[in-house]
Amino acid sequence: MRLDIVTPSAAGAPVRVTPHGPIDAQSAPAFESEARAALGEKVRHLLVDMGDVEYVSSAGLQVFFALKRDLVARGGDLLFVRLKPQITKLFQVVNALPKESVFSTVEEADRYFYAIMNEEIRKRREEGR
Amino acid sequence: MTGGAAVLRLANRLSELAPLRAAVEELVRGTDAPDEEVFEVNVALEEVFCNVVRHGFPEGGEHEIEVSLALADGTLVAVVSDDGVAFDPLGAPAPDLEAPIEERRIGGLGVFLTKSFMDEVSYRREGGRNVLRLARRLPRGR
Repeated sequence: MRLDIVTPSAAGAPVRVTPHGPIDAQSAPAFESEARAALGEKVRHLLVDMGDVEYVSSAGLQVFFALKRDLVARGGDLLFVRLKPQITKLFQVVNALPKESVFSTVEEADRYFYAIMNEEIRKRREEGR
Repeated sequence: MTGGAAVLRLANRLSELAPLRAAVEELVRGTDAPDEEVFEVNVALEEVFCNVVRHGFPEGGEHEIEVSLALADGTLVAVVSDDGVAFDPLGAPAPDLEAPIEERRIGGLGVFLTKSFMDEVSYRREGGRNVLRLARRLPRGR
């Protein structure tokens, strides 16, 4: 499975990863280790563009849960964009899809993170006063 | 819906997951089985296959896992058998689906999905082999 990664250039911005191919028991470990390497110690948000993923198994779900656990612990979150219907249903069956974690389009995700980034800038300005 | 059958002799390696999915998809090609339901069958089969790979051969080595697939009268039946240690994967406790994701215990999810996505799941030990049978109507509402 190929994984495209875009690392953030501003505070509050997410690491954006775009997996290409199935996330199954074979590919899930590599997905996790590459995502964690991109997140490093400081980035709090991970946005996964699932537009080119037709298949996720329980191994993939476990990786997502582990990443979410760690990101929430550092005050951030794991979010998805362009989930395929069958994968949306998989998440729903295991009651693991808060609606605030899913975007239909990349533009929607961008608007969400611009708001977060603007808030970060506002906080830093106030701290600088 | 038409019928078909296939018998796969797979190695105890996770790299066999893609050929296993391909065999299921080939079996249902040209039928009215919805893609989303075939997806669910593949998720269940993967879980079963992975359990054998991970738990069936504690001494390691190369082993063969047989997967027979049959589609007849609108029902897909998969039988996964191996000569590994006796292991019934169906006994795993159910996951807590009400807890926030970040608080959930690891484990149990795959068996839960297998039971959710298949209509029948059964295990038996026979002739020194684990035999796990999965069956599902395709489409389910038929």
